[in-house]
Amino acid sequence: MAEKIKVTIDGTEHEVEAGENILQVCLDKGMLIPHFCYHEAMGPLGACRLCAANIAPAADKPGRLEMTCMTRASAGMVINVNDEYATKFRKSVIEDLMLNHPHDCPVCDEGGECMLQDMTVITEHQHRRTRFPKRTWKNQYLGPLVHHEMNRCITCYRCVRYYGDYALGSDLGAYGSRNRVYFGRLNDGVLESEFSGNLIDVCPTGVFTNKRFREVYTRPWDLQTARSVCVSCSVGCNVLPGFRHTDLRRIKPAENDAVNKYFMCDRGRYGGEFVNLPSRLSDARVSGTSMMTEDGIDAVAAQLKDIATKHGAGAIAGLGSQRASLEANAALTAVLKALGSDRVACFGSQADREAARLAASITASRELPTPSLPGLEKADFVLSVGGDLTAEAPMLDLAIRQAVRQKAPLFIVSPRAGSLDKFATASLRTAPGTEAGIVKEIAAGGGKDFVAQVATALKSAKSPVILCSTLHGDAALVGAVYQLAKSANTADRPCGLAYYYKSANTAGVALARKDESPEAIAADAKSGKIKALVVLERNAAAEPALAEAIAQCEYVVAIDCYENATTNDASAVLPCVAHYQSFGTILNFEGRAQHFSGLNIPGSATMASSEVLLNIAERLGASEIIQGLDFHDVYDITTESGKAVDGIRTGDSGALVKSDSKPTAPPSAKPASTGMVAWHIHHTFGSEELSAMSPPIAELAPAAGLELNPEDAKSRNLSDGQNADLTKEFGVSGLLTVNAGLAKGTLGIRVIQTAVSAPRKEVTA
Amino acid sequence: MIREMLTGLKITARYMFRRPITNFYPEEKPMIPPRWRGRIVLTSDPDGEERCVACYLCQAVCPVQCIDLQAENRPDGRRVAKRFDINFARCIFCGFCEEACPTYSIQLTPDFEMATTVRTDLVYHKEDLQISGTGKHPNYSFWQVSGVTIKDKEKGEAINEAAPSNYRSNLP
Repeated sequence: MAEKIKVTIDGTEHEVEAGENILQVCLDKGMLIPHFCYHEAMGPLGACRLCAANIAPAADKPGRLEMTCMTRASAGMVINVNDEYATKFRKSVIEDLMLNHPHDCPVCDEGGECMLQDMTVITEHQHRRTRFPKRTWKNQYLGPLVHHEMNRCITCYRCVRYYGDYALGSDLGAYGSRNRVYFGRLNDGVLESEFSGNLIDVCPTGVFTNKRFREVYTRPWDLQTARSVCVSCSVGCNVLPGFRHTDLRRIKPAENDAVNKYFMCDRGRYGGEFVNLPSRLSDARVSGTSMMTEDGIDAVAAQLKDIATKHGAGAIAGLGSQRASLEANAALTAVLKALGSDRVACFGSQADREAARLAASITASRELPTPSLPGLEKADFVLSVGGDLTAEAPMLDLAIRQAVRQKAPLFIVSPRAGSLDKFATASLRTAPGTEAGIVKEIAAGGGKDFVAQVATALKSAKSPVILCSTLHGDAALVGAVYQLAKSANTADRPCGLAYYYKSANTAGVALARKDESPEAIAADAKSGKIKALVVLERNAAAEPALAEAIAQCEYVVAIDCYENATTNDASAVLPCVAHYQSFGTILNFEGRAQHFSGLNIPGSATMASSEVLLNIAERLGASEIIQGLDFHDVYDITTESGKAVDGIRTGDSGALVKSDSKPTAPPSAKPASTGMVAWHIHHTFGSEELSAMSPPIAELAPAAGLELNPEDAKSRNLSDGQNADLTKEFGVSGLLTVNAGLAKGTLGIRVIQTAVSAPRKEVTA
Repeated sequence: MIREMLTGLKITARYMFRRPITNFYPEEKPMIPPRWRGRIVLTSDPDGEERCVACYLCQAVCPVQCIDLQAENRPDGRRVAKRFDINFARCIFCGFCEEACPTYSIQLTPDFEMATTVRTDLVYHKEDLQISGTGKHPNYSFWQVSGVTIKDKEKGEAINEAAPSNYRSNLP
């Protein structure tokens, strides 16, 4: 804690920390000094010269004009923001900045949230006095996400400082000199960074604007917004989705000190358009007949009750959802309980289930500290194991880039090189299934080369962090990473451990007390033991383990927000609103429970999935079950955590849930296979179910296909661009890409969701 | 009493020999001042293209919220209103929209004859509002002074603009 000192700002004495940035002090205290280039995340630069104030070192010393963002507070300092000369100076700076500004506010997409507009009004600049022609620039094509309009630039350098210095991107730069500085790429092309959308928020004027929002533009003051939590990955960034008329128009990050502050990834920002799909469901459909949701609920409740009485309680099972809220999954168990059943499966395969449940139980045991995003940024050692952070949990990647900027060594152990690898101190490519062995070697100490390097760095680190993917269903790896973190964790240097998951609420459903392997449910459904399946917000028909079961099961109830393979085949479809219109609580990768809320807009369903299920339960006469249901009954969390989760409100920093039970012992690692091992490659764009349906994300998604290491390709006589048929061994075939960044002995299968699902079925009204 | 009656009769007698002042509306149209705030129109550029750039300022300023619109980008680079509705049942003809309009598109005209017996007929759509003339500002064209590229007007070709700079060169 720095020493507290007193400074005088505009005649009032304030207590501040010594050495604090004066502009930030003033902004925190609600005094708005006009500024452009200063941004809390990127620090001061002194480029725009707008935040000038008269600053005197002491009351009896003469003051002079200084940039407040470049001045640090010292004891007795006297700051006069409203000094006559400083005010005049700021006005003239704005006049200079406006010399070349194009006359295009009416068609500028920044209008309404433009800093230049605000600052111009504050400084009271009104007329352009010069008669010289305006400087102009040609715009660049920057891809489907960001629109470029260079004439509006005021040279604050925020974009390159964010893109290059903060997000460590390399393809956006400042070119030219003097009064002709250009911010863009060397040539037209799609911005390479997965975090390019933040340029829109960072730019104080309209140089970088949201290309999607532009298409169906509306002023920001007309947007209806309810604070929500992003559904695109397990990080759980807080977001502000803006609706207008019947559509979601854009998503912006919302500030939450515990999670994200100013930034979010492009998948989250542009992935919300699944809400607008023409295939979104608005009516219930029971055996081919379209009807009101309420009537559908009646019909489904009657049918389920019928099956339960005819075939016994065990004839009904539920398929829980990793993207639905804790409430919705709890309501599913309530419905099943009302029917006398307790069979739920939330995961796609037993391997995924084991890995996620072990990881969640380790996190919830709170034995080791779980770093939050701000905590990750301060790590001085990072080890990422098992997956591609940029693709599987993008904002964790951005946090780690901050740690890398602070010279933290970064080590990566994974089968495939991702975009974070170029910042790694060292990375190890190893076949899937062998990572656990390497982690064990690191924990044991010794070893050589990479292992030794990681072990030494880990020993000398003061706040190390280990991150591990659970998307590839490797429970042995989850366990090995836990052992490594435990061995490195001491009282004076806590070792942070974070697992990240497939979907927004995977960490939540992984803590469910009742959860079965999907294979068991699928087998019973196929054998006819299970007669009815209640599928909650999940395209189960597209999951290999469940597809057959869904097709063969007698009665399938699908509750979802959009038409997909499951709703197409289901006996009854009940519509629910999409995530950004819905409400509930989800657990992010840290086990942090966050509440999200939503808006009801015309043209869609009216109920959240949790409400649909509670309505069914009520029709089944289970009001008592619902009343008595607490979060800690359904999920493996303490009574206090259950209460805390209940009390969370939207926009809170949330509550870290704690579990009663100790983590279960990890399964022993399977013997490393000598042959080729299949590995699912997740991409930042196109691999996540919901965001993949969004048109800009679908445009950026790579083509589906297979990947092989050059040596493996050669030994199999396959070459790049060829159609590889590996149906016999792995049940897959597709276009082959030879990738030197893939570990030997790995068959990479790109997970690309087919953009828009099957067309809406014709229904008889 | 007689005096009062005579006073009244005097006034009657005086008006009896004056010319009548009745306006024979609607046969005879009254003279309305050109700056009268009547029916709202959307005017066009001197080159005939619609002036409205769908900036939403009229909608924002309207005190009775009778304007609703949605912007759209035309393939030629112009932004226009895809939909522009004014509910004249709600409009109070205050003229704020005309003041707020940055492109002189929306203008109030000296037409007041909008009475109808069907309420929904008072919601005017874009095709009812758009006129081909320039209205009160015959020479102004927003697109010719703004720095945004449209078809047949590249960067640097707007009024008072220099040719595009070359960022690859450091020469003066």
